[in-house]
Amino acid sequence: MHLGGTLTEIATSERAGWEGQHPQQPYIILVQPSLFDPTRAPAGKHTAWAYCHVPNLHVGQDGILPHEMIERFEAQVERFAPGFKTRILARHVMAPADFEAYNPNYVGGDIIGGAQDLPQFFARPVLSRNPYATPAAGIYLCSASTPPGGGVHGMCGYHAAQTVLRTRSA
Amino acid sequence: MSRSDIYDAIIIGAGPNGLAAAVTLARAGRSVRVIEAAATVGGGTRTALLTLPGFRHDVCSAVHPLALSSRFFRDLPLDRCGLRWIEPSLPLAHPLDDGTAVLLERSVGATAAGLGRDAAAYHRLMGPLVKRWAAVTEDLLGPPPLPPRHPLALIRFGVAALLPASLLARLWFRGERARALFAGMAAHAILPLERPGSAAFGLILAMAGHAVGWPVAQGGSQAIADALAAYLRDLGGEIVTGQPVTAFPPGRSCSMSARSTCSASRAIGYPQPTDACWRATAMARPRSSLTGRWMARSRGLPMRVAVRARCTWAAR
Repeated sequence: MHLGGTLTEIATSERAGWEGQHPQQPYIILVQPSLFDPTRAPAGKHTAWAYCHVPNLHVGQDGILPHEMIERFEAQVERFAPGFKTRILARHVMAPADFEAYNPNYVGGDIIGGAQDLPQFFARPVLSRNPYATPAAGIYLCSASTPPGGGVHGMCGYHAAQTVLRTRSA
Repeated sequence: MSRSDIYDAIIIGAGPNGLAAAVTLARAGRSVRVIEAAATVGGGTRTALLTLPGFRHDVCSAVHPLALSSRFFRDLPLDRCGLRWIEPSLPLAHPLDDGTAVLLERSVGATAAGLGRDAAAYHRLMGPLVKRWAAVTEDLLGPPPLPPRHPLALIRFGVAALLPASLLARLWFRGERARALFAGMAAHAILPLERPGSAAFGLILAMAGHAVGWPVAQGGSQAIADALAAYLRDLGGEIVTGQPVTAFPPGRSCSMSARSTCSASRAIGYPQPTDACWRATAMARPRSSLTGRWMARSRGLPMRVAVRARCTWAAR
C-alpha cells in the first residue's frame, strides 16, 4: 500500500528527506504480508511492515527525535486506516543509525548503496568500462553500488561474476 | 581469514548479491567461499522475530517484483530449495482522503478502468511498455546498455523514463488519481520526484506489477537468501558466517566484495571517503602511470545517499 495522498504531498515528502528534513507527513510504503502468508503471525493476528524516506545520517539532521518521527509515521497510517493504533500489540523501529549498525553496507541508512539518479545510471559507482572491476587486481565489487543498483534481483552479483569468468581463467 | 589459495573466489557478504555472485561462479565450476559477518546469511533479505513470539518480520526488503524479472533468479531451481512465491491478486492499493483507493491491478485494462478520464492515457503509456517488459529488463538489469540489445524498446521506455516523475505525471495524466498512483510508485526511487530519471522507477514498478506481479516470499524474505545458500551448498560452495572481514585475503584468488565502496575501502585499511564517493586511490597504489591517470579521472564522482526509517508491527 502507498500511504501518501496526492502527487503534491508525496513529492513534498520525498523532497524533504533529500534536503535533510524529516517530512511532516511522510510518504509510507506499507505491506501486510500476514494477509497472504499465514506463516508470518499466529492465527488471527497480523504483521505490518512499513517504511518512509528520511535524511541520511551523514547529510544533516533537523533535530527531530525518533519518537517524534514515529508519531508522524503512525499518524499517516491512521489517516488511511482509522483505528490502526488501537490494534498495535508491539512495534519495532529502525532509524538510519540502526540500519547502518545492522549492515555496514547501509552507509548512513542508505539501503540501495548510493542514490540511483541519472548520472549513476551511467557511472555506478564511477565512470568505468567495467563497473565491477577495481584498480586492485583480483578484487571486484558485486554490491548494490554497482549496476543495476538496489533491489533484490541478484544482478549485481551475477554480472560481477560474469566479469570474473570472462577475465580470469580457472 | 581464509586461505585464498584453496578457492577460486572468496565472496565477502552473504546478501542476495554476494550469494548471486557465488552461485554464478559455482554453476560455472569454480570453487567459492562466502564469508558473512553476521550470524546468518541474508543481507537485505532477512526475516526475524522482532516483536513478539510467533511474529515474523522482514528486516529490510519485503516485496520482490525484480526477483521475478531477473534473469539470474529465473534460471535457478530455488523452488527445490524451499522458496515459494505468494502472489496477492492485487499488487497495490493507494488510498485517498475521499475514502476510495486507486488500484494497480495485474492487468493494464483493469487498472486503467479505475482511473476515470485517464484510462486511455494509462493504456497508451503502459500497454506498449508492458509488452516489451522482457526486452527492457534485459537492458536495464545490468551494466549501462551501450549498445542496447533492444534499442527500440529501450528508447520507448527511455523517452518517458528520463523525465522527472512529477513532470511526466502532470503532462500525461489530467486527474489526481492517476497522478497519485504514478507518484507513489516513482517515489520508490528515493529521489525527489522533480529529478530527471525519477519517472523510471514509476514505470518499472508499474510494468513489473502488470508483467509479473509484486510477490512476497512465503515465510519472509529470509527464504530467498536461505534458498540461494542451500543451492550454493548443493553446488559445492561454502558459506562461513559470524566472520567479519577486515582485510582482503592475499593470494591469487579474486575476492568479490558485496559491501559498499565505502565499507570495502575501510576493510582494507584505507581512510573512509568523506562522502559516498569511490576514491580509486583508496583501493590500491598506482602500479603505472596509466593506472594513475585512470584513478585521477574516477575521483570526485559523488553518490548522494538516501535512507529510510522502518517500522514493523505485530497487530491483532
